Amino acid sequence: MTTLQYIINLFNLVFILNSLACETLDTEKPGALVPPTTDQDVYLPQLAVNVAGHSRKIHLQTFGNPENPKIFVLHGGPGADFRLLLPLRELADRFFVVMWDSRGAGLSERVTEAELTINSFNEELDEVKSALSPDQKVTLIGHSFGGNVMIRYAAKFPENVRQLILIEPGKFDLSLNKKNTGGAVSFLDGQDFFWQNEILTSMDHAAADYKAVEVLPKSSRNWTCDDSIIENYPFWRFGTFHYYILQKNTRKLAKDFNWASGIDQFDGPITIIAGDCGGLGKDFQTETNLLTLPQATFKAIEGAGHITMFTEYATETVSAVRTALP
Amino acid sequence: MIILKKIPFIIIILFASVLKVHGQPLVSAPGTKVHNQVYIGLGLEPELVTTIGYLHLISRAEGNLDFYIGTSLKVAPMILSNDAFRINLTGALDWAMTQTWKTRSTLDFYLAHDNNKAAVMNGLGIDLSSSTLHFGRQWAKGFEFGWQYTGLTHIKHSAETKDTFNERYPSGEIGINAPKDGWYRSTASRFRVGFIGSRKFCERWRVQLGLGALLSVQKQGILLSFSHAQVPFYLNSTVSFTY
Repeated sequence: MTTLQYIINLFNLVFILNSLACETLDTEKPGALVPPTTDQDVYLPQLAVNVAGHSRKIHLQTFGNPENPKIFVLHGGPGADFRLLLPLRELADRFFVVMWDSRGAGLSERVTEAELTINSFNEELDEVKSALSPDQKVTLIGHSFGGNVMIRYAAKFPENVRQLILIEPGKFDLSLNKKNTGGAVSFLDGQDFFWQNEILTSMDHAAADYKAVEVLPKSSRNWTCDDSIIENYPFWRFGTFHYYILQKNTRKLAKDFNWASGIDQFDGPITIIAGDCGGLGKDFQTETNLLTLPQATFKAIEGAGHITMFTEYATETVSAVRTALP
Repeated sequence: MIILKKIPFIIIILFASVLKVHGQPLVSAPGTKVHNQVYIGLGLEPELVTTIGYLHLISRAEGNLDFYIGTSLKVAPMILSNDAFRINLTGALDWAMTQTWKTRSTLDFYLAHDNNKAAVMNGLGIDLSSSTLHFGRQWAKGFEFGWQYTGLTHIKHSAETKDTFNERYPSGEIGINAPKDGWYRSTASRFRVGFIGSRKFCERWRVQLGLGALLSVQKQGILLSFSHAQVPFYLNSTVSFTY
C-alpha cells in the first residue's frame, strides 16, 4: 500500500467516525435523558426570580382562583420537585395554591454553588411572594427539607405568614441528640448506581440527574413501614448538584443552629403532620421538632411514610391539611 | 430459564469468591518465562466486581518487550439480575526496564452492559492503563494509573424514565414529551490512580492487591459525593497463573 493510499484510508476513517459522531446524541441535549429545565423549555410554567445576584427561571405552577387566600407549597430533597406534592392541588377549590421547584432543583434552571446558600431560600421565597401575593399573608406548606425552609422564613418574616403546615420536616434544633434518618441507600441497593459509571458518568447536570432515576426509589426504603422500595416514586427530575451543595452547606451549620430560631415572633397556627413509619415519622417528630415547637398541633397518619403520604395515603394527607386550614 | 441463564455468571463468582481475587492482568517479574497468563479477581469500585481473563503471548522482541493479546469478562455479582457485565479485548505490552523494574501497559476495548430501572445501556469504550513495579525476591511494589472512556452508548429508556416526562405541562401545552432512545456519544470518562503490591507463590502463581482513587471529572469540578456516584476509592485483588 502506498503512502497516498494510507492517507486516503485515514481520511475515509475520519469521515466515517465524524459522520457517526454527528448522528449521535449528546447526554446534555435538553430533553434527551431528562426533562428540560425552565431555561430550556418555554412551555413549562415558570417565574423569573432574582436571588443571590442572579435572575433565574424557576418552575412554578399555580392552581385555583388568584383572588382566594394563598398557599405556598415547597418540596423537600433537597433537590426534589413538586410532582410528589401534586395531590395538594386539591386545595385549589378554596385556595390559590402555588407550587414551585427551588432554583437548581426539579425542573428549575440550574444554578452555581454560590447561589445555594441557606439564606438564599428566604430570598427565593420572598421573590415568589412579591410576585404572587405582595399584599397578603400566605400559608406555607413545606415537606421534608421544604418544611425547614418554611419555618425559617416564618421566623424571619412573621409579618408575611398566616399559617405554617410542616409535613415531616427535618430536625430544626441541630443540638438535639437525634439523627435525621431516612433517604440513605444501602451498599446493596447502590450497586447499580456505581456500576453505571462503566457506561455513564455524571459529567454535567443532565447525566447526573438522570442517574437518580435508578437510585432515588431505592432511597425510599427507610421511609416505609416494611423497608420496601417505593416503585412508583413520582418525580420529574432530581437536582443532583443542588442536593450535593445543600448537603455540604447544611453540614457546615453550627452545632447549635436552629431552623426555628425566632419562631416565637410568629403568632399564627403551626401544624406538624407525619406518618407513623420511617425515619422522619411520628417518633422522630415527637423526639425533636415537637420539643422545639410545643405550641404546634400534631397529626399522625397511620401506615403512611415520608413518600407514601402523597401516593397511597394522599387522601388522608390532604384531609389532614384541610383540617389544619381555617 | 432465568436461573439457567445466570449459571455461567454464578460459576465465575463462586470461583472468584473462593480465590478472593479481582482483576487486571498481573505484571510478572523481569526474566520470568511467561507465555500465557490466566487471572481472576475480586474488587470494590465501590460496587463489588469480579473479573476473569486470559492473556496470550504474541511476540517476544529484543529489548525485553513482550506483547500479549487476550480477553476478559468483568461482572458485578450483586446485580446479576441487571445483566451487569463488561467484556474486554486486551492488548498488553510488557517492558522489563531493568533486572528489577517492569512496566505493563494495557489497552482494553470493551462492551459494557447494564439493564436497570432507568434504561438498557450498551457502552463501547477504551480503557488505557499502566502499571510499574519494582520486584524483590518475593514481593513487588509499584503504582498504576489509567483512563477509561466510554465513547458510544446505546440507551433504551425504561417506562420509569419515560414517566418522568409526564404531568409537566399545564393542559393545552405540548413540549418535549419523551426521552430519546438511541446512540449517545462520550458518556463516561474516569481516571484511576493507585498503589499496587504483589507476592509470588510457588513458581507460577502471584497475588496482587491494588488500592487507589477512581475519579470522574464533572463540569462543576470533581464532586466527591454519593449523589454523583463518586465514592472515589477502589480496592482489588488479583491472582494470576502463568505458564
